[in-house]
Amino acid sequence: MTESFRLEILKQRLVLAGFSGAFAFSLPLVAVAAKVFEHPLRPAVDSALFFWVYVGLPLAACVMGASAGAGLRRTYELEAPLPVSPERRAWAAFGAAAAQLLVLGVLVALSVAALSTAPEQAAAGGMGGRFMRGSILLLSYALLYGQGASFVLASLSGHGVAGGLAGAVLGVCSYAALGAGLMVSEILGVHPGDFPKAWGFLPKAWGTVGLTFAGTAWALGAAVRWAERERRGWGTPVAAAAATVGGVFLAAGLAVSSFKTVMDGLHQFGIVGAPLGSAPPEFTPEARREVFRGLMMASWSGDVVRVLPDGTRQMLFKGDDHSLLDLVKAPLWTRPTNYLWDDDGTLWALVHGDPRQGRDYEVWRGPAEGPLSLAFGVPRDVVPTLLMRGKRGLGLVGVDHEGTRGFSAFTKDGKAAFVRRNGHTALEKQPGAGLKPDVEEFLKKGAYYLMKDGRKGLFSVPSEGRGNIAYLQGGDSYLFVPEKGVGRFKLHALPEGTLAGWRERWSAIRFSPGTGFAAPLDLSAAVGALPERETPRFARWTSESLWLIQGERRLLRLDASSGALKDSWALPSGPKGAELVVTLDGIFCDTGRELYFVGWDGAARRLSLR
Amino acid sequence: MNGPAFVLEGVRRSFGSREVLRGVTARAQRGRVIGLLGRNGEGKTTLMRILLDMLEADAGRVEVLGESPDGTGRIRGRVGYVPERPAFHDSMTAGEVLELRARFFDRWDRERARALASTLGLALETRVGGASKGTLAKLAWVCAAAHDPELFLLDEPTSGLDALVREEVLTRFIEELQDAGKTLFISNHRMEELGGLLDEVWLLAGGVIAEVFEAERLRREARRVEGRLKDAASVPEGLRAVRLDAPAPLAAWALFDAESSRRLLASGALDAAQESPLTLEESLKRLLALGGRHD
Repeated sequence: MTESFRLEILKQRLVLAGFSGAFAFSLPLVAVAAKVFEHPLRPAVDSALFFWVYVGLPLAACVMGASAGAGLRRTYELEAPLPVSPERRAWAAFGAAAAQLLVLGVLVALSVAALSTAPEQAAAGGMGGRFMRGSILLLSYALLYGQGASFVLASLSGHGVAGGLAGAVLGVCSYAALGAGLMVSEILGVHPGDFPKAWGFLPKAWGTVGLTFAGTAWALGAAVRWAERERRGWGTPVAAAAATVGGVFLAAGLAVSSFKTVMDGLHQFGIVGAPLGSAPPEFTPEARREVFRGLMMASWSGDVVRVLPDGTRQMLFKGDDHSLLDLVKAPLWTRPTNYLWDDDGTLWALVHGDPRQGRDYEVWRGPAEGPLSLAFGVPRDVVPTLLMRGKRGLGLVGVDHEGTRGFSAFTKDGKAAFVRRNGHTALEKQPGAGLKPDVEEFLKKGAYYLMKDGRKGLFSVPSEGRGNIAYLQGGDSYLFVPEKGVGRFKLHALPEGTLAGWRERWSAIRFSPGTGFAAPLDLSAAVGALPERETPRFARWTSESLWLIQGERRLLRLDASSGALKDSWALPSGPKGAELVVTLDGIFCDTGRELYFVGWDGAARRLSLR
Repeated sequence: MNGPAFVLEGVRRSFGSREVLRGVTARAQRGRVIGLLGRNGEGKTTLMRILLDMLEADAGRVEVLGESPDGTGRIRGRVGYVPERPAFHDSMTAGEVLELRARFFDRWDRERARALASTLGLALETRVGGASKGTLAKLAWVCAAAHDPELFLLDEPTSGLDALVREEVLTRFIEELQDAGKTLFISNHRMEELGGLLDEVWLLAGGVIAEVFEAERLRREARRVEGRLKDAASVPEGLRAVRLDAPAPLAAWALFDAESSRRLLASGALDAAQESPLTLEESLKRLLALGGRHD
């Protein structure tokens, strides 16, 4: 094999010399041309290098491959009498062609490294760097495949030019298909939950590459063996051609699969975080019932739905239809960006507007069961980022024309949305100005209570120990309540409106707005053996029973009087666990593949979302 | 190493719809010089390439020096081959061609190669591109012999050689090989040039080995019989003979064994028949015509 390889290197040296010479000559020529025509030198050289990477090298690959393949046919009479099998000679010929392509590739790469900024871009982090590295890998694959395909087809047909052209087409098609599939999957294939993500494409892509190389490698030897030794029948050449061409179909199939995965993924739902806002509202009982009855989910296509325990889907916001071309042309984002519940159970949403309507942002609203409808458009000189609840009611946090972050309130009917002063939409300069807890009273008493605002609504403020007020992110409310001799602990809001927490390890405590703190409940007998990292969280607490979620995997029911464990159920789970959302009637479990609802009796049922 | 040099059993080979070899069966003993006689297109080169493992038989059994051809080319390391049209890399000199082969053949002997080249008058600096047919033929001979193969397959080995060199190759070179106990399988249109060297003559006709003649027996028994044709219908069937040209009313045959001569003479088909010995060279000339009857 070594001797055959050396012979092939000798035979093919002129091809390499030609391309190397052309490359070496082209760069000074480009530099001279840039000077003569008074163009900037750097971009001219960059363009030349770009040409060599994306045109020159592929051309060289196919010419070298085809030349090697056709050359074997031409030198049959000269070399067949040597004591080497046709397959070995084929492998030696292709290996020599690949080695020479590698030499040319290294020449080009060194020039790129020395003269271009591409290496820094490739080494950079983030999506840009990743894409460039992926592009280099993909190009390397396409070069080798194109060269192999050119070799096989040239040796089957005996025509170097035809084989080279066909190989070039196959290489380009394969590159385009895999590249498109990867790009679509990487850019667009990020899905909520546990749905197929970008890197799910990569194992299939590597599999495709592997199969393509394996098929082409087999075809290399088979083609030459047929052409020299068998010379009968059409089975072998057809199989060799199919094994070579098959790589393109595999890549195309993978691209289509990627597209389909992304398009399917657009319509797969993930949980939307509980939009309680920075301060939980004081829900009316009816509103609380509606708000905490269902589960809000959104898809990448922009549909927002409320799912009820019986699986009913209520459309809150209808997303836009996207074609794949739309997704490629413009980044994908869902129109609703932010949600907030009002006290009466109204759902408000900050939405990307329709530019054709002259609006960048809009505020929509509607009942808990949907649908939402347009309330008003946000003036263009305000860039809102968040819906919030303030002293003056609901409002938008955003930046004004001067880049100042502020808060602007709007009435619930949306009529008096913004105040315009001096030609600009006015924003309150203090983002938290709408919140005015009774701080002095708070600090005087030396302890931290649940704070109430001027409307006597219930909200909570996490204290940093100095009376500073910080805003919460939404979802559970966390409250540090240090009492004399008791120490600090957290309370978590439960859907029914009470707060519960661990006062100290395995001593549970509950706070009800009307009655205050209940006596602590010792749960050490039921859960005392659990490690700290599996400290259960509270799901529901009634006068008879207390429900805990242990390790996001099990639902425990304990006696509310004695703390004894009564029932224990496994919660539905997926390969990566499950995302759990507690509602009034039970727990929604999103395993990433399926959505389940588990009632307080432990009974689980699967809700179809597909 | 006592087995046959090669064995062919029912070997078939087609190219497209054309069946060239239709069940060749033969056995070559080691140390023999075998002439393969056949008309153009009968499949002599095809047969040689099958033996060389350069071509795969469609059917049948092939064994060369105790090995079955398996596509690896290993057999070619033990066989010397002179093709009908020798070809080498144009950009190389004769010396470079030999050096290339030295790296491929395990048993290559560089000294032997130089000596052979000298014997044949081959200048090693001669560039292959543009070399004469004779130069290429000499180079082919050196390439065939320098690795001391056990079996030689020679396809028109004297083609392109001038008369002097042809004589040198035939009388000295092949004799040396024969004396060394090598097996030679030679295809030659002018088989009569090899008359004194042959042990056997195989006639390839109709895609099979139609006839096998011992050269010594041919030398002893081949006859020319001529006489006045009395009764054409009485000429026996199945004679190992070829009809020769003769002016009417005479008829003449070349008969290749004593039995055929006896049967013809006894048939009464000829009047005043006269028989005379046929030289081996003359027999070999006439044998080719025998191939026509087996198509």
